[in-house]
Amino acid sequence: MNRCPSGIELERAYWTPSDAARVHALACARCTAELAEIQSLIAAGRAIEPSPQSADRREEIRTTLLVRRPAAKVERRLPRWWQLAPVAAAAAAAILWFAWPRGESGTQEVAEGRRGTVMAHGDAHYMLMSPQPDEIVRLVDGTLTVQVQPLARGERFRVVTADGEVEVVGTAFDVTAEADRLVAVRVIHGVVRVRDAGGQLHVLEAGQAWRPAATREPVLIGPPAPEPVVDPQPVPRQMQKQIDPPPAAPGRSDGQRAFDDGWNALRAERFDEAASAFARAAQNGPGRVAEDAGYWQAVALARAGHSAKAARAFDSFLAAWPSSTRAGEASAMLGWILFDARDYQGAARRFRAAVKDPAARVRKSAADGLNAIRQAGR
Amino acid sequence: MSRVIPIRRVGGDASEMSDESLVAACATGENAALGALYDRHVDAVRRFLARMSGTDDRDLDDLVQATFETVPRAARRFGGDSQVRTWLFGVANNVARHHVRSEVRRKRLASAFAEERREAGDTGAEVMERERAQRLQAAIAALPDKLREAFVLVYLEGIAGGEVAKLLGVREGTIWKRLFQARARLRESLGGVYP
Repeated sequence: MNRCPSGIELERAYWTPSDAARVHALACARCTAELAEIQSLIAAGRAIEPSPQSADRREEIRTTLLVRRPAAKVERRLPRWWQLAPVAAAAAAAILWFAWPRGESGTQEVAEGRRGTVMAHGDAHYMLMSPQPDEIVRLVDGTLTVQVQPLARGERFRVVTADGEVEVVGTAFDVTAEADRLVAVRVIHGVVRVRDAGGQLHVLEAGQAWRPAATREPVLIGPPAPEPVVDPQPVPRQMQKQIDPPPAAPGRSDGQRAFDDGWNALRAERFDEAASAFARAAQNGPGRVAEDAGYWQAVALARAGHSAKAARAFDSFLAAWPSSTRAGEASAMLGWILFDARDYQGAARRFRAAVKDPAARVRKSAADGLNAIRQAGR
Repeated sequence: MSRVIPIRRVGGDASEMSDESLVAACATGENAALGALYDRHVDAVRRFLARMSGTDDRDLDDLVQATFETVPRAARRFGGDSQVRTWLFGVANNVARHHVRSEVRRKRLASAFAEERREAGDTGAEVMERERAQRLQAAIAALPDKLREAFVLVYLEGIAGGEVAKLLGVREGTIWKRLFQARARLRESLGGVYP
């Protein structure tokens, strides 16, 4: 090639060593200057690096990813929010985060690829999330006794709530959550690390217990610890005796049975059926059941994709139970539904009501919502 | 999906699986595979997003999370015809594209970069070097989306033009044209031939 290649041809020549124009370009002062410019831009551009990500932030994102439900099951619920903005994703994540149904009452779960044996006390609400090498149990409400086999190098086991987590290395312990808040941990043997709502780490040894500083009322964290055992497997007989039996069915009211039906339907992802059952529970259940049912009815409607109905249900819940421990979560979720519907004023009001929630995740979701509204120019 | 190997569960150590196997496992909803993919590529994805979006650290981490949250859904469309890292950049690019759509945001970013902060102990040469990098980053952030994604993917991430063309769904010649246009715009923004 005798003529100088065009700028476009030079780009191709730079990145394609066999390109014919390259021969000319390397021998031509004008073309060589352009190639040098390309080289300088590459070098200068590649030198631009973001500030390093903190280990805590990296871990926080990783945990958030791992405690999500498998994407295959949630895909149909998310498209519009994902397309709006990354902050809107927090809304979907929040709904999923708070919508996990309970495990089997009073049963022991051991699954493939897992090191932990989970025994639920009563009607604890929990779900086995990711397997090893980073095994996570998501606990929403109730008490679990957890027995963890010795972990191999690189393996982890954690129980995660909305506001904290308990990490163990070959041990057995009780962990209790109330309304998605970590409220008690008691170590039977081994060592656990508790990360509280403020991000502070507490290391507990056998016989030691932890509760958050501002627990409002005494929390029952299960029976006394058994004697320490050397071999953590199989589950010590003493411990098995201490597991509370499932609640006796005959004593349950209509509202409680409806609530159970709602949970079963929610767990099976039959969201419309769950919403109906929770609605019955909200009408017929005693106070605490009615409160929980109102909240989960709204969540089920949201998961079913009935945004308008979910918004009304969250609104009713907040009106009926303004001081509920779930009020912040409900406000944040309602805020995102309103944001999605472009009701920015209503969304802002709900987000503002959630910005001081005790749970960091709820506060972040609310702050993200307010930011999203500002970015939308409202 | 017929081209994705179905894997029901990640057995053993997920970190020993190939990238392609991890993506296939992600497609079936295996969170452990997603965790391994995250561990393996989070730094590259984060750096790519920083270059593409030019956002601050808080927004950047939100974009990283949004990218990996999108991965399981996107994994079902992964055909294995590009490297997984390149495919992840494509997923991240879609996330970033929505994020930086606002021209106002980019202009604000560009002006933020112009505010130079001298740190104690910096030599004159270091200050000049940092100023120069900030000007370049602001100029990259101000490029139109299509020019910026070609520039970042080829110039900064070193991905072959043909692979970028497939990723963006355009002809290879279009990539060379966009690179030329991006370079011309940068030259104009930076006041002459670089450096």
